[in-house]
Amino acid sequence: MFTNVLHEVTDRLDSRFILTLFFPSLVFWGGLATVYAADKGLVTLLTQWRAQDAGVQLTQIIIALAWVTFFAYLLSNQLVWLTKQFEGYWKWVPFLGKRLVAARQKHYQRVLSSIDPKADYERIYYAFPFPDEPEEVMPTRLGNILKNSERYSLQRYEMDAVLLWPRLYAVLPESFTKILEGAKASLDFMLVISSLSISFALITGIYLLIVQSVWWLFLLCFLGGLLVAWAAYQSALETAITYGQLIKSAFDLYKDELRKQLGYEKPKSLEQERAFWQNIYDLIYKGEAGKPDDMKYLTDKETQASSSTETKD
Amino acid sequence: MHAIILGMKRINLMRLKDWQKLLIVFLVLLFAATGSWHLLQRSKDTKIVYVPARNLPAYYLIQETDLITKTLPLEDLSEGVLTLKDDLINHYTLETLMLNEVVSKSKVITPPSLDLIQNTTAVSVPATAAATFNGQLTSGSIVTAWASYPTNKPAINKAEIILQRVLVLDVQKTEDSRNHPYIVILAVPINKQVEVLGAAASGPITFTLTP
Repeated sequence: MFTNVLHEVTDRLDSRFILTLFFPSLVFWGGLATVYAADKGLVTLLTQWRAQDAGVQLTQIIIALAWVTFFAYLLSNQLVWLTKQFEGYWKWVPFLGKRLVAARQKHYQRVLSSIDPKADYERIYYAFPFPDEPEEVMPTRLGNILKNSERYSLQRYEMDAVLLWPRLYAVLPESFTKILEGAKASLDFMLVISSLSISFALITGIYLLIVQSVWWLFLLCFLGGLLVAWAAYQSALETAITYGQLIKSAFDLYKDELRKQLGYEKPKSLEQERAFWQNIYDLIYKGEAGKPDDMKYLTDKETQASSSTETKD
Repeated sequence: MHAIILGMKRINLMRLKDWQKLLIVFLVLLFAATGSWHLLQRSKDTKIVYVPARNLPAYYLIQETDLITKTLPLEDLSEGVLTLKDDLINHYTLETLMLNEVVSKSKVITPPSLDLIQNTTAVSVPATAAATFNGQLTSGSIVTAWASYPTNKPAINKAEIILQRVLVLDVQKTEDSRNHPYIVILAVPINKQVEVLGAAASGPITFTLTP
C-alpha cells in the first residue's frame, strides 16, 4: 500500500534513471548475450560481427541500445510491483502464493514473539525492525522493515502514513527530500539488481540445460546469478532500514509543518494531537471529521506569524 | 565488541528455526548439482564441432566467419566428419553445405597448398574427355591450363598457357554436351577470371598435370 504512495518519490528521480535502471538493464542484456556467445563460440561470433559492414554494426548497436532503454523504461513502470514482490505481496501467485505468505508470516511472528521489546529495544529499532502487531507482520524482511516505517506514524501520532504521506512530502524541505530520494534510489537500485540477477540465473540456467552446454558455465551463471541477487537483497535491507528511518523522521520532524499548512491550531498535548490526526483522517478519507469542534483554524495573525518565521528562516 | 555481540544476536534471530529458507537453499543447490552432473555426463559423450553458420554454396571458399560451434553426441559423428576449425577454413566446398549440419570430408576439398586457393574464385570450363585424361583428372589435381587459338592455317591451332599451377576443384560429367561432356571447375586467381572465361568461350581448354 505504502509503496504506491512512495512511487511519487521515484518519479522525481529521472536524473538517476541511467544509474538505477539503464545501467543494470545494459549489464543484464549484455550478460545474456555473452552467455549465448560463450555457448556458440565467443571468438567466432565476434569475428562474424566484425566482418559485417560498419553501417550494419552501427545499426545493430543502435537497435540494442534502443531495446535496453525501452526495457529500462518498462522496468521503471514495474518498480512498484517489483518492490511489492520483495515485500512479500505474493497472494496473486496461484496455489502457492497464499500458503507461502502464511508460512513466512508464521515464521516471522514466531521471531517477533521471541523478542523482548524492552530488553532488545535498540536491536529491534535499528537492526531488525518489525511491525509491533503480529497480524501486520509481512512474509519477508524487507516487507517488515517497510511495514515498520509505514506503521510508525499511526502508532505514535494516529497519522495514517498512506493517506498523509503525499501531503507531508509536499511540505518537506528540499534538503530532506534530496536525502530521501537518495535513499529511495539506492533501494530501487539494489532491488533492480537483485531481480535482474534472479532472472539472469533462471534464464541462463534453463537455456544452458536445454542447449546441453558445458557444466561449469551452467554452474557459474546459475549460482553466480543467485549469489549476486542475494548480496544485492542484503544491501537493499540495509538501505531500507535507512530509508525507513528517514520516513519516520519525516513524520517526527515535519508533522507540525503539515498541520500549519493545513491551517489548524497546534494541539496542546500528545493525546490532543492523536485526536487531531484521527480527525484529519476522517475528514480526508470519509469526508467529515469525527469531532469537528476539536479542530480550530489558525487565526490570520497566527498564520502570518508562522509565515514570517518561515521567511526569516 | 558490542557491535559483534549485536551482530551475532541478529544472526541467531534471523536463523531462528527457519527451515523454509533452508529448504529453498537446499532445492537451489540440488538443482545446481543435478544440472551440473547431467551436463558433465553429457559432455563425456559429446564433442564440440564446427558447422556452417549459414547455407554455404558449392565451390565456396570457407572463411572463419562462416562457422559456429555446435555440441553433438559422439554417436552422431560418423567417420570422415570434419570437426576442427582448421579442417574447414580455407577449404573449398564441393557441394552446398547446410546451416548447422556437420561437414564430411567428401564435401570439401583440401588444398595441397594455401597459395592455390588464396585470392581465387571458382570458374567452370567445358572440357573434352581427352582433356580430363578420360576421367583421371579429379578434384585436388594441380594442372596447367592451355587455351587454343586458331591461326592463319586452318588446320593448325596455336596453344598458349593461360594458367600455371591451378587447383582442380571438381570434375563433373554433363549429359547435354557431345563435344564437351565434362565440366572442370578450377580455383582461378581472381585477376585471371575474365581471361579464362574468354578463352573458354573462344576455344577448347586443355590441361597438363603439374607435379
